[in-house]
Amino acid sequence: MKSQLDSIWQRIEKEKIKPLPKWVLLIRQVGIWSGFAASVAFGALTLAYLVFLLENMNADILLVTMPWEMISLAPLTWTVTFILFLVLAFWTVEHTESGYKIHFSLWILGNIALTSVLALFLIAMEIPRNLEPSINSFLPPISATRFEERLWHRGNEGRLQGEVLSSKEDQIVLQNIQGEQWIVLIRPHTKRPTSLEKSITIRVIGRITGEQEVEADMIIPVPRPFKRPPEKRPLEIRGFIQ
Amino acid sequence: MHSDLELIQQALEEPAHFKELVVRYERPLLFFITRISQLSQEDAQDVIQETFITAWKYLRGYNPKYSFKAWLYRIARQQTIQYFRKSKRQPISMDSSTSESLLQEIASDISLEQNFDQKLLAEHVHKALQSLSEQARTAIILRYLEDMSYEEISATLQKPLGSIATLIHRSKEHLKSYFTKTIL
Repeated sequence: MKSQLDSIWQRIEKEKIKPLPKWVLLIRQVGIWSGFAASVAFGALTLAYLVFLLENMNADILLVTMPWEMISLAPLTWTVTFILFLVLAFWTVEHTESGYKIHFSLWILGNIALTSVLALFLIAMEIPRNLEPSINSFLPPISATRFEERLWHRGNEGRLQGEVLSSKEDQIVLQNIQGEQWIVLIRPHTKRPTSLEKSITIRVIGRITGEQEVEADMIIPVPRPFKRPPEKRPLEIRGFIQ
Repeated sequence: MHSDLELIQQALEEPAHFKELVVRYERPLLFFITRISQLSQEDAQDVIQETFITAWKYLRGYNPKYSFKAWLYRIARQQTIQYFRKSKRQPISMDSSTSESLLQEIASDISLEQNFDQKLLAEHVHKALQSLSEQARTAIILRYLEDMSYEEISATLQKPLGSIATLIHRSKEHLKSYFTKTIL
C-alpha cells in the first residue's frame, strides 16, 4: 500500500489548510445552541398560542357537541408550526457534540416536556392574549379572532356569540359583532350560567326556531372577549359572508 | 510512543506532528473504508485524504473526553457516505476475505453450533451482511474487526449507547438466523 502521507501533506501546504481557530468552532457551537434555544422558545410560544386559541374557542365543548366540524376547523397551521419547531430543536441538538447520546424517543419526550413547561409559563404571563392583536393584524387567517368568527358567528347554524342587550327569565336579546340582534329562547333544558347580566358577552349553541331566533341548548359566558377595532366589525368586509 | 492526545497537542503547536497521526491511522482507515464500502484502493485513498484533511481542519474541535479513533472513524464514515452521494453510486458490501475474518471473530459470539461447515458459513457471511443495513453492518465491523468498545462505536456512529447495544444484538441474531436458515 502506497502511503498517502506525502499527498496529504502536500495538499495541506499547497492549500494552506490550517486548523480552524477555537473561536470559529465556538461560534458554531453557540449558533447550534442558540438555534436550539430559539426552536424551543418558538415551539413553546406556538404551543401556548395553540392552547389559548383552543381554550378561547371553547374547543372542549365543541369537541363533544360537534367533533367533526371541530376537527375540520382545527388550527392546523399552528399545530404544524409547533411540530416543525420540535423537529428543528431535535435537528440542532443532533448537531451538538454529545447530542447523539440521548435516545430519540427520550429526547422527543424531554423536548415536549420542556416546551410544555415554557408554554405554561407563557400562558400564565398572558403572552398569547397580548400577542393576539398583532397576530390578527399581520396573520389574520390564523388568528384566534378569526377562528372564533369561523366557529361562533354562525347564527344560521345555531351558534352565536354576542353581547347581551336585555335579559328575561325565558329569553335574552343578543347583538353579534355584525350588529344583528338575535332572540335567544331559554328553555328548561338549557344549560346556562346562573346570571345573564346585560352587556356581558355570551356564546349560544342551539337550534334556529325563526328569523333571528334561536332556542338555546347551552349558553356559555365569554369572560374576556377579544376587542375588535370598529372598522373590522362587519364580516362582509372581511370576506366571511358572500 | 506518544498517545493520540499528545500528538494532537503537539500538532497544534508544530503541524508536522500531525504526520505521525496520519501514519498511525492510514492503514486501519483504509481497511475500515474498504470493509464498509468495498471501494477500490484508489477511491478509498481519496476518501482517506479527505478524512485527514477534515480531521486537520477541525482538530481544535476534537474533545479529548472521547476516543480519537472513534472521532477519526466517524469522519471517515461521513466522508465515505459523502463520496457515494457525490458519485451517486451504491456502496457494495465487503469482499470474501473480510467475510472470513469476520466469521472467525463473530462465530463464537453468535453461538453457532460447531457442526456447521465453517467454509460453507464463510460463503454465506457475504450475503448475510448484505442483508443488514449500512449502519448495522458498520457496527458489526467496528465491533468484530476494529475491536472497538460499545462507547467508541456509539461515538463513531453518533447513536446512543443503548441503541448500539440493541443494533449489535439484533444484527447478531439476524446473522445467526440467516446462517441457520440458509445452511440447515
